[in-house]
Amino acid sequence: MKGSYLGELEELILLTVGVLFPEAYGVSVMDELKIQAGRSLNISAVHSVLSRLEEKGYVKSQMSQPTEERGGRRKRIFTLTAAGKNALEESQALRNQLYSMIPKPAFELKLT
Amino acid sequence: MKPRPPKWADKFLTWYCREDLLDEIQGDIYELYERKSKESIRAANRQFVWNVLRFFRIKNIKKKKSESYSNSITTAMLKNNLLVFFRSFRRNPGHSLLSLFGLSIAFACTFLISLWVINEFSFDRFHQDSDHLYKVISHVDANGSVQTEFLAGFNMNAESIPEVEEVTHISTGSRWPHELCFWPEGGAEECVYFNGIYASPSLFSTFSFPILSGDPNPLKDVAQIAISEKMAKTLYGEESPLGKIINIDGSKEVAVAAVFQDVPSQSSITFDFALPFSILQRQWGINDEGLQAQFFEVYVKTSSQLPPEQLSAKLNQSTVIGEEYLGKKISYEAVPFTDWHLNNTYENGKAAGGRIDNVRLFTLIALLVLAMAVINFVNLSTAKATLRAKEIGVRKAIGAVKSSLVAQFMSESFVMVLAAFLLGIGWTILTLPTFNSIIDDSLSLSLIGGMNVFYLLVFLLVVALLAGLYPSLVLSSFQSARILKGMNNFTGSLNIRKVLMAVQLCLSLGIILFSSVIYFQLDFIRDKNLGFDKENMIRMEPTYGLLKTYDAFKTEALKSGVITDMTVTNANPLILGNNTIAVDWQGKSPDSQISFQTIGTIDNFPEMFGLELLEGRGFLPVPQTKDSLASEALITKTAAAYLGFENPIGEKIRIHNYMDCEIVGVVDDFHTGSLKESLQAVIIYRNVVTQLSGVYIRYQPGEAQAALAAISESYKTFEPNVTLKYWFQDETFDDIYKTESIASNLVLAFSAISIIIAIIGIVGLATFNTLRKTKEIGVRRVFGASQFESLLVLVKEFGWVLLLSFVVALPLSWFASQKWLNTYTYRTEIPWLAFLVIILGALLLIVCIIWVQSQKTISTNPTKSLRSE
Repeated sequence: MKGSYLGELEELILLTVGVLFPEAYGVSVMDELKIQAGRSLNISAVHSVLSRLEEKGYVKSQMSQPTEERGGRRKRIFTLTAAGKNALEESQALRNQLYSMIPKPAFELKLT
Repeated sequence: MKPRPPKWADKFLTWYCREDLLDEIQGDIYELYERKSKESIRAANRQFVWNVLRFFRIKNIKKKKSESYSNSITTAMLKNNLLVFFRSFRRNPGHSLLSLFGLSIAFACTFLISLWVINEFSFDRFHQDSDHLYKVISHVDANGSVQTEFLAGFNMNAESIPEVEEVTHISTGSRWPHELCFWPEGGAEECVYFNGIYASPSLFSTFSFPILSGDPNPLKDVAQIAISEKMAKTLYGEESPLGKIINIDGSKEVAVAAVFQDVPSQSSITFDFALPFSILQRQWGINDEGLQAQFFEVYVKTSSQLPPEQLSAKLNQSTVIGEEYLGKKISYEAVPFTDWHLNNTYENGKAAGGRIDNVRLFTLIALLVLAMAVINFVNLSTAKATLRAKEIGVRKAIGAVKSSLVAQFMSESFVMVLAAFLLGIGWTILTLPTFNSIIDDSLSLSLIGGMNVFYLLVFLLVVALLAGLYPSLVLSSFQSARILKGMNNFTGSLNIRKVLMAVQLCLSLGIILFSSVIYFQLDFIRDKNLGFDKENMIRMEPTYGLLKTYDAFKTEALKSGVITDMTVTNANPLILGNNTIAVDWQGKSPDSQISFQTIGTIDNFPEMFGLELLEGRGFLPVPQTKDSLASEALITKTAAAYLGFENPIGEKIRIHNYMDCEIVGVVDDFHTGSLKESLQAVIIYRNVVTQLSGVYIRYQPGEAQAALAAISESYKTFEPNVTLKYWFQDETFDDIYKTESIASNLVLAFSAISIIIAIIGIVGLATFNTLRKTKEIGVRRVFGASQFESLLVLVKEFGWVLLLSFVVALPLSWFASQKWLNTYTYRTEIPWLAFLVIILGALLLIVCIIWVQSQKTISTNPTKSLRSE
């Protein structure tokens, strides 16, 4: 299924949404990515990835109560869906499987 | 105080962003902004703007609301729009005609001014390579004050500059030897005067004065003349003039070598014949060396377009200008020839505008008048449209969308503007002859061609758009429910209308006030005592022969009785321009550069011109002969102050380095030029009659025709072969202020037009206002208000509009007037009384208009107005 393919940035952001539960929204995701992965993204890029993930059904969102610090604007809080959890698990499993299949000698490159 | 992000960026975000996404996006950007602003507000602002721009992507942009019906303007709809337009025109023809009329006269105004401006800018551009032509002028530094002459030395060696292709010297003038009398072939009674030039052989190659027949280079030969088509026709009719011999002043024979096309009216250089310099040398009796020392008009043609400063620098090299002139502090300046016509005024060696000032002034006035008319149009159409509110309401209720209403009103205003445009062209054609006579020029519609037609169409579109945009937006935004329920108070648009009204009143008041100042200043000039009597005086050009028999001529002329006196001078005291620094006296400081004006004349000059003698005596009535070396001189008060003698009477002065005079008297100062200049120091010296050049004849007041007849008769007996040439002094005087009187005539015409437009505006708004207030007035009348009180209610609506426009217009026109008056050394004061009268008049006029307009409403029985609907 083409639509379900998870890009690298998408996967990272999806993970972050999971990590930040229940406070995952644009700015917090952006900050977390900076801290954890050292990647500084523009807020608009984060927004477009999040909305793509929502279209694919990996996250769902709801608007929070307005807060003072944002000039009275509401946040869109993202949470993982079951599909999202599955997708993460699948990609995790795929990685583990592939990793385990790497023959030992391949890691001993520095000896040769 | 919390820092706020840049407003415009925020607005932009709100404008483009989808509503369902706006909250989170704006919230996130705000949050980031607040965080960043703790470090640096400027960085935060930058980041905010950057984020707003980054969010500007297709996904986030508002989608246009889909409309279920087609919005295209079909021909059927256009037809319907037109029909509705004609119906509303018919229903309210007075109103529509009023705005049509106002707009069309403003258009006509703009067209006339544009014609004039195009004409002014096209001066001297008909020459091939006109950008390569430069006029050389010279500045003389006389102890700090720089005098500018529009001439340059004949000995200028401009040919040595590599970029210079051709140098042309031209000698021009308005009198002998440039103004000559020619005898038409076939035994005519009188000879005909033509004005011509003496020029270098390169005249016809430097400038594009096309030669129609004959020698293409007629001035290379010393005994040839080139004449204009007009002159050829006058002198020889249909015959070919080529090869005919013309006898100049009865002594120099030249052959007609070429006929050139008449010089176009947009040329700074005008002439009917051209002669080589050798003839001028013979006329003046100077040799080649003498010619080299003369100054003439000089034009330089370069191989490519050069910055004028660069060319000027090259002209001032000692190899070009010559050491002698450098030593005399003379410097040359090259001016692009195409700029010359509009910028030929110099003050203290610096360019100080010229006609360009008038061009700017009138362009501004034309734009103001047009702005007024457009404002009027907008006012009238919005006012009228509020009366059509029901129509709009119904249209909207049955499903018209905003854009189709905009299209409807735009097409209506376009039809109106187009009609006004065509009508304006009609007015222009009708008034062009009058306009030409006011500005003393010959404009024609043929000036409009090529790109100008395109500009006109663009202009039409812009005006149509400006005039239609606001009304159509206002009208189409009416809410149908409110309108149909009858709740139509469009106070918002009313306020804008009032602002527009105030602007318009302000403009027209400003124009009127300013024109009153011009009028008063010109009046002041006409009545100003010049220090001598210019009335009832004829100046005539004598021939040398006549001057030799002057005494006999005078006796003959005085016999008639209408002529009271006669004198001879070498310059017209009205426009004396004979400035000279060649005046020497005992005790003059060696580096003094004081310039004097001189008049050579005979004994009865002071009495004849009514000069007031302050000290000493006038000239003794003994004839002056060539042999008497010491001449008598009178000096003016200013001249006496410059000379600095304790008692000037009896002192000796030497004029022009050869003429010794003894001062016999001091006369009061008199004006010898435009009142823009201050009084000059004048020396009046006696000279032999035969060396003078103008005969001044005073006649009995009111007997101009009889005097002229008497002079012609006596003239005929002494000079049967030469046509009499004469001028009235007061006409010459008026000529000095020709530009001013043209300007004042035009400004007067414009103020009349601006009054008309303002009246139209007030009428329109008053009508609308009265209609709106019909009910209110009815109620007031029921409760016992008098007619006058009801009128006051209506006038009050205009109260602050009037006040505001008065308050703004008054200082503005005061400022403009001061600036204009300051160009005159002798000026009248601001006519405050006239200002007051104008303002009161305007006030009265406006109240009158409101009264007339509302008369019907106020005087009708209030029960009628209350019962209607």
